[in-house]
Amino acid sequence: MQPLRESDHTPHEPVLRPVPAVTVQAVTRVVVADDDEAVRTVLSHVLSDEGIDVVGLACDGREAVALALELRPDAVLLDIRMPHLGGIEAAQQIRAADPNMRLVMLSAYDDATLQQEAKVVGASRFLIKGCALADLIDAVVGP
Amino acid sequence: MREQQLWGPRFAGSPPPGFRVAEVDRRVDAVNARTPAAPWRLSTGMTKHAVPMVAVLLASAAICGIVVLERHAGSSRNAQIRLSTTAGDLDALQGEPFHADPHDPAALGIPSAMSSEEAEIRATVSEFAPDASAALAQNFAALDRIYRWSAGGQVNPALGPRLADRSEATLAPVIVQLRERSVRYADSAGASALTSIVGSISMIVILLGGFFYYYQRSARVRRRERQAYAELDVAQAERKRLLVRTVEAAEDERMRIAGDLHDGPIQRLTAAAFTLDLLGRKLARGEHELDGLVVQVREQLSGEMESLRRLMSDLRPQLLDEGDVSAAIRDCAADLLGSETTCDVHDDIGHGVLSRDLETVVYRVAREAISNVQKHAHASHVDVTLAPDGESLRLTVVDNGAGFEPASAAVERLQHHLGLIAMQERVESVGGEWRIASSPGAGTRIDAILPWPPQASFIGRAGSGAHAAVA
Repeated sequence: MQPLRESDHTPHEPVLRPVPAVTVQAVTRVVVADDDEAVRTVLSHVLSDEGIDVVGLACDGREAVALALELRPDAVLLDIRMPHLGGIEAAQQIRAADPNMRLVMLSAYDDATLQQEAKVVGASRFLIKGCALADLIDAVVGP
Repeated sequence: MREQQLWGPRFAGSPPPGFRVAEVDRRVDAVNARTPAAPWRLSTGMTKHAVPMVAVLLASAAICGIVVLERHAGSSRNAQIRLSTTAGDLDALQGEPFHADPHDPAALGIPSAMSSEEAEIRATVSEFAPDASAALAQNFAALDRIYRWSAGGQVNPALGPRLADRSEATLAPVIVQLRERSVRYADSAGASALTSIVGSISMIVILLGGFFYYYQRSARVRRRERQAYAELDVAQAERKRLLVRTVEAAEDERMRIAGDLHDGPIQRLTAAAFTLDLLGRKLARGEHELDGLVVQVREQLSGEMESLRRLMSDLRPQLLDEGDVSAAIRDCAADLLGSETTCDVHDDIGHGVLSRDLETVVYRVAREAISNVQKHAHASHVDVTLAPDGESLRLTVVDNGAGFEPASAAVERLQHHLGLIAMQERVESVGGEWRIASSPGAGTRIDAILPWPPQASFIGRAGSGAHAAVA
């Protein structure tokens, strides 16, 4: 498992100590992108607790694209509403660069149009914030 | 400190917090009240037509007078002609027949014309000089005898001169009287003609004056109509703009609240939910060192409750509903300014004496001003004063911060940025006056003078003179 890569713009992110994977056989490398620090931190904790390797944390869409293209994770967890570059646009850029990377959208909005847009740009799953942790894990790890 | 009234496009900046339709309605009513009476009221009154109608009536009366005068002048001229002719006839008859050759009746010149001329002369004398009718009759009788004598060949040569003397004595006064009357009638005809001419000229002048006044009045009314329509157009445009702005402000407010909910409660609760999931999984795995996660969830929920409390307070402070506007301002100052800036709130009006609308305006303006101090002024102290000022209420917010140049080139952008336009609009929405005075390095002073009904303008209610410091 590689050490966590943090965005240059988030120097104060806590250093995470991932819990060894116990439920996921193949280690999945993930970049988490959310503009809310508390959500980023919690997502990192819960994914790490499930043995998923959170290799990068991004606080906006631009950083998410940069980390995804640089670290080439298995999956990117993207918030929809972020400053500078939204999650949909970030997913579009990542998908253009890597057709195989899993893109999981996470949003506070339960909006059919957003879900359709996410599907169009190639997102694998669309989750509503507050969903069950199991759904999140399934979406990130994939089938 | 230089003072300048800042004017700019109304509501051009962000909508004032708590913007309400009732305030817009008050503004529209104020605009309508300033609009002059409707144009149709200007154009349908009888005033515009009164003068030309009077002119027409006067001209009609003048025409009637002229007709009467003309008739009188004509009859006077006829009488004068008849009198003059009769006087001439009598003058001709006076003596000539009596001195003619008595043996030549034709020379008398009487018999053939006597019947008609005598009747005319008699009628004229009877009408205009009845006193002379008897003498005239005697004279005609004498003439008749002379005729008959002449016709019968019985002529007394001495009789002619004698009758001529008597005829002259008889007719001379009649002729004089007829000529005097003739002169009077001539004078009367001249006076009537002159009066008729003056009346005609007066009639023409009156008519022209009346129609000139009508034209002028109509032009003035048309000008006022155009002006009234223009002002109505302005009022309509203002009303439309305010209504549009009301809808925009309401939508902006909803967007702001939605954004606050998205950025605050949703994120915190999402984090709390995932943390609880994590906690559950750890418990299922038999882990026991979970105090950290429990504390983390508690902190997330506490933070979120605080965030919701702030949002609720922003929407409508509870103290404002209780009528304690100064306490609400004090809380707001403590909340916004923190520990680096002190704030004194001087309340000279007391608790519960302001109407709800006025309290809202006072609170929102004070909050915006304090927010500006916190964001831009870098001040160490702020004074907020709420005091009666005649029949007005004066809210003053003074800071000792950096200040700015109101007349700078970027003033309009600055007004929008600082919400000054919103403050000004809010104060003007209740008929108040808003002023700002500032200069670089000398702080900023904001005055809001709000109309306060006299019956509510008293000092000494419970809580008056309250003075609190916030650090």
